[in-house]
Amino acid sequence: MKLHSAILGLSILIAPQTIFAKEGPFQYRDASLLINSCQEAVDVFSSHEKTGYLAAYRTSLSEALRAGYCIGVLEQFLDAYEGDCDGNSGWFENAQRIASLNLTQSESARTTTFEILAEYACGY
Amino acid sequence: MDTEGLSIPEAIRKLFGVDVAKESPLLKNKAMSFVRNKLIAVRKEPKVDRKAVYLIADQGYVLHNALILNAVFPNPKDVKRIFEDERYRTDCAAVVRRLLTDRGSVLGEALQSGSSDKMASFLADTERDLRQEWMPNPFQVLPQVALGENTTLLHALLAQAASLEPADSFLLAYLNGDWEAAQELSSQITSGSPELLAIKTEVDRKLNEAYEFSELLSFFRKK
Repeated sequence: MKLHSAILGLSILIAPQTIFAKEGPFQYRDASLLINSCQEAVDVFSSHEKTGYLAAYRTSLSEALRAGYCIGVLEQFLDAYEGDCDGNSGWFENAQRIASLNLTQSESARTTTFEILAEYACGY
Repeated sequence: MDTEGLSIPEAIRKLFGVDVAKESPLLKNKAMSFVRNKLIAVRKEPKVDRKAVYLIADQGYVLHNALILNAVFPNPKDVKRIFEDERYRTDCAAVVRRLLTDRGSVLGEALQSGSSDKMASFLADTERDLRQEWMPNPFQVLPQVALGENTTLLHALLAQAASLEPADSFLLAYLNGDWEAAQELSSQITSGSPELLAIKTEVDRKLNEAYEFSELLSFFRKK
């Protein structure tokens, strides 16, 4: 009985924080931010290839910011784990592979950002 | 605004803030022609050297509305007819809408306060009484005052329409995403109203930003 109410009390204490944490930006246990960001990155660069400087016209501020997040994360990951990675593809190729991932919401919620990086950002 | 008992110049100063003696004898002459063709009712008082005329009750509305209409329709006869002939008034409302709203420059429309549209709507609605209500005035300065003799608003609009192109197509090109053309045309604009220059500055800034962005993208893709 005592344990039960303790758990109840604990869960009341934790609950609001869990909700708050869910709304925070960087959920390393949720790969969707990285995947979405890499999709934006691939879009921005393919638009740049097609339209040159007009890419600015077709890219919103938030798309550009997401793309920048993807580039930064992938580039730093490659740099940090250079010794452990055996592939030699650059961040863009890795971004393309991550962008093409098709995870459901619950799948990406169960997948950590690190797992995605280890699998796809380490080169081929 | 009560104009009863005022002379024509006094009434014009009160209605439009224009001192006709100093700024625009033309406007006074136009107003007097509405007295002569009896659109505006006055009380005449014999004076030593000439007859003085004073507005009678409610004629301020007529004077106000007649002078605004006169900005577009230079002939006092036409203005009088607008007051008297509903069909003609409706036709003229369509002319006003075309001239002042539909055909305006893109830039002009973007900067317009919307009062041209209100004037056209007022004129088109024959329930609104030109003799008992103030018609919305779309002019910051009456064209008769700003343009002076020999230049009616019609002429000015035609001249404007004929010379519109650079600014307009520059703005249009930009809005259509044709930045190459916008840049080319923007570089041809060296003078203009502060509003136009502000838009030019904004377009130039956007273009610079686009080039910077493009260079950054190329930099990130370098292997």
